[in-house]
Amino acid sequence: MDMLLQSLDIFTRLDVWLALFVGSIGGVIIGAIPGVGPAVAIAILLPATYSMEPIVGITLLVGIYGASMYGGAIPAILINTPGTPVNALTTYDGYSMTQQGRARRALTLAYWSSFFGGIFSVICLMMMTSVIAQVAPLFGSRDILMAALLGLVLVIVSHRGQSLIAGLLVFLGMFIATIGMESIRYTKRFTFDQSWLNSGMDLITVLLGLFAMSQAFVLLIGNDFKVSMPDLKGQPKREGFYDLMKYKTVALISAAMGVIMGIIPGVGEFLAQFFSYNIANHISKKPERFGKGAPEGIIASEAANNAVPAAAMIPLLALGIPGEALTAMMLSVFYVHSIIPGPNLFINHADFVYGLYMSLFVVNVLIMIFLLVATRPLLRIIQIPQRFLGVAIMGLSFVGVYSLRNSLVDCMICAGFGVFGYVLRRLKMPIVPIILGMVLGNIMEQKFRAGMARVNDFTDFIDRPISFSIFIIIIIVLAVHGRNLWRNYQRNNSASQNSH
Amino acid sequence: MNSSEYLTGEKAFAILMAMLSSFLLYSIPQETQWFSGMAVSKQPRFWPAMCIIGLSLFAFSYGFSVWRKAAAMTNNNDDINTTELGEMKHWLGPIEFVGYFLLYVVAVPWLGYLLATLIYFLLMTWRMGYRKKSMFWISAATGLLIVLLFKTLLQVKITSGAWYELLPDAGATFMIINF
Repeated sequence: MDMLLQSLDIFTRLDVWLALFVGSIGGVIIGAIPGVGPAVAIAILLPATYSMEPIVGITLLVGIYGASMYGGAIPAILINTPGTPVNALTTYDGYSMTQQGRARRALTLAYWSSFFGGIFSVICLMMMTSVIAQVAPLFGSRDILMAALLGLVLVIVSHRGQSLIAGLLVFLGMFIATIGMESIRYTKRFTFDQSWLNSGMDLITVLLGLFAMSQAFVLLIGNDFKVSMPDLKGQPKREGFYDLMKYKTVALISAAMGVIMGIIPGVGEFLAQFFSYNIANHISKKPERFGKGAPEGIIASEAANNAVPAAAMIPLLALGIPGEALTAMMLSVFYVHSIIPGPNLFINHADFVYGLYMSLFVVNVLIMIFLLVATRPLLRIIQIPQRFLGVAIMGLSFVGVYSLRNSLVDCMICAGFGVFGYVLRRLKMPIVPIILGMVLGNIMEQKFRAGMARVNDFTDFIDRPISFSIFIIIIIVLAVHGRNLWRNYQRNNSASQNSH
Repeated sequence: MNSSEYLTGEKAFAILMAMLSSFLLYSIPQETQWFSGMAVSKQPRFWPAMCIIGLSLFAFSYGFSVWRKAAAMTNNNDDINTTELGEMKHWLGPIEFVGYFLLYVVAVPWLGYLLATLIYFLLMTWRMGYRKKSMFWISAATGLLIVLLFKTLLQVKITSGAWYELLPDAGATFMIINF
């Protein structure tokens, strides 16, 4: 409690407040513009945060991360286009409500549900801190190696129907992370005698290429589309809050689901909202309304989404293992400032951890206030022409990549990954596995080498209680995935036989 | 993209990935080192080799699954009228914009961040087909805002323009620091 109160000191600083405001308001705007998304924004801003103090930089990024999902609900509800991919489920019931002339009600319900999910998650994070602080130091190199492996396995199996391509991209990411000089014997690996490859592929360069540049290319090659906004004038503003109160069980279950899924590396918002939406459907007295404007549908989707960002910080802070692309990006900010996330963070930088929790809390409050007063002006931003947005994203990508080392080569690598990302987007393939492969692959190699000092044969990797438990979880996950694949195969086979 | 175009894209991607993983497998001995007497797991070659083996396994499994899908589609007499090369041409669509981007990167050390950014935004706005005057004003304002935010306010490290040196000392310093 003392530490929590001490952490309030950070709110006497102007730069922290500036980061809170820019993060929360900027995040809402970024989320509200279809085609940008938090990954693009964070990738662009990342190098700029290196010169900031860690708490300021991380607050800014976490603000954008959390706020973008609030903002993403606006176009999802009003024009049936999710602002960020994780708002896709909100379109089902949100847009239906708009068609029924209840747009304002859907919007305020989405805001309040998001707020509930966000605050619930922060409170959970605060309550779990003492447990995390006790459990995290128990993790040794081998345990972290297993946890990272679990993260990779979950990334692969959670891409239903795309597991093979997700696995391919994870290993590609892991391979990319090995390029350059290795740190033990200082030998070159896969540099092909090219001096510019000696220092390896910079994570930020790859990130900017895959997320920002590729998105810019998609927008530049596509067409502008005209959107017609529904008129919100005269619609009641408080009904959304009453709806949330009416369906508080759904809100609670969804937020809890978001927290659980956020903690598990490699899972994230998609599964959180998918499970909560299904649960809400099952427990609803009127399940037939789902997809046709059910308030519970919006609550399930938005509360679950917004509970994830704070929860996703748990594996990052406690073990140094990012669960998805955005926390992977934040990891680099920690490293730049020599704050190494992991078991010792809660001992050496407890003030930082509590400061971050409080910032997350304040961010949610600021976003909510902003949204309640500024929804109508925000509607204009959604109408920015898509191709012009592409021009702006490409211009902003330049700042991100060039400011790293003022290097033309970095820009060329970034552009190369941009084209690769464009191909992946065109083929509707996931991008996140490459980034997680890069980050987790690097962690795994380090922990593998560190763990080898205490290992005689490979079974020693799982002779500790934690690593053995994680190993069993990996086996169960793979077994369940294998069973599902087999069932799908049999179903498809019988379907094709029937069609003949 | 219809389903046949999508499948063609998947086939082209599978072929490329199979080629890449084969090339990387072949390159392991040349591009990594092996120290005699050192445990296998501690070898610098060990980790990249594991990654490439994993990549290859997934690449070939993916290729096999796409091949099966294509065979099933052909059996169903679906109309497959696009070629892998045709699809790959689509993949090169962004090359034009990569060119503009790199021109912008090359221009910055000469023209300076402010001027290069304004020119980039105005020319790209024109290239994208916008002709309204208001759009050009918005475009220039966006460019200026980005420079003010990142260079002037956040002081990100971006090379100053070569022509700034031609300015009087005070002006040159001002331009180097802010733009």
